[in-house]
Amino acid sequence: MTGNELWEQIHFFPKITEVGPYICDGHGKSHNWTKQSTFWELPYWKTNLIRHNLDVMHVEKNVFDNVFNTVMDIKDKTRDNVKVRMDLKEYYRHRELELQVQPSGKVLKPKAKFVLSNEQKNVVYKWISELKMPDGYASNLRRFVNLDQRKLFGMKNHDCHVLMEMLLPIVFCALPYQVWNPIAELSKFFKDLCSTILRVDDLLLMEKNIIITTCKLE
Amino acid sequence: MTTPFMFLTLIIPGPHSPKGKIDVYLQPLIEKLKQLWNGVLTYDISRKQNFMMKVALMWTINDFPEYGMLSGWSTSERLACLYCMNQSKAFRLKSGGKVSWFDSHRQILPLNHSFRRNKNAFY
Repeated sequence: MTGNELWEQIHFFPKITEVGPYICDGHGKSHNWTKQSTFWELPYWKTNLIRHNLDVMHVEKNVFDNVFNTVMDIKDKTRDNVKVRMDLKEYYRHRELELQVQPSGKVLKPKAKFVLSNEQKNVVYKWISELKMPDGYASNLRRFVNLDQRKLFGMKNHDCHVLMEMLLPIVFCALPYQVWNPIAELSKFFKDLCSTILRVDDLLLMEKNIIITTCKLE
Repeated sequence: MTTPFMFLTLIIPGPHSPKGKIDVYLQPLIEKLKQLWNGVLTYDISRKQNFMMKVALMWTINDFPEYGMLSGWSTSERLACLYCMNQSKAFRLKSGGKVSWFDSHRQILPLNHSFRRNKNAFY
């Protein structure tokens, strides 16, 4: 949306500095505006082409955390939890993933095909802890690995960045192809996005590819 | 960006996030930015003379929750996406209670893409 179009929508909302917090009419239904942002006071804000940007490193870290925790099936951190499986039968036709009630009354959560087995996880963690990186490229990855609990912890933004971009396709190569492929594409997408030279036609191509990748993930 | 070009203008005290009320903290900054847009006389040490310095805020770089604070379009709940705005097809999951964008990405594919007609793989 252009700045002028936005201004049309937003100009009648009060500023938070003048009236304090309040709820706009129709919030959460027809729109999600909470206030008129203070930046609109700047005379040139309407004609500004790029008003807000997202921090790529930060987004990358969040994506990495979620993908990694889900594939490694880390308890309480995986996105593939019991509630998701309960929702699954409402929206998705994957019978093999739904919760099954055992004859004893216990509920069984079947193992998903995008989760690594314990032996595979051990191999992955061992491999990460034995990796040797070029000088100054990444911090010592061995420090983040906890082999007993099968966890990674204390990762900083840049460590996630290295793992996401360089190592993820290798780490998850034990997964079936239809799962590995979108993950690898996701990794490639971030790698291209973070390269020092970006060409417009490449970006357009990437934009197309990433849509296909998101669809594949579903 | 390297260290000599960095410039700390504002620290907002914790421990809680100011949420939408961040505007209150930004007031002095906006005031200065408005003044700087019109220009202020500044001394240039290399030329040893005064010049008119004008400053514009080009953009902000932030994470997603912060996006909501700065832009005014709240980035939570069902209409969180700032590109779809109120055309979002997101819905709330029954037991998880979270908002899901499940199967709302195929609409951005080109019209003739094979995924659009695929009825089996996306259900």
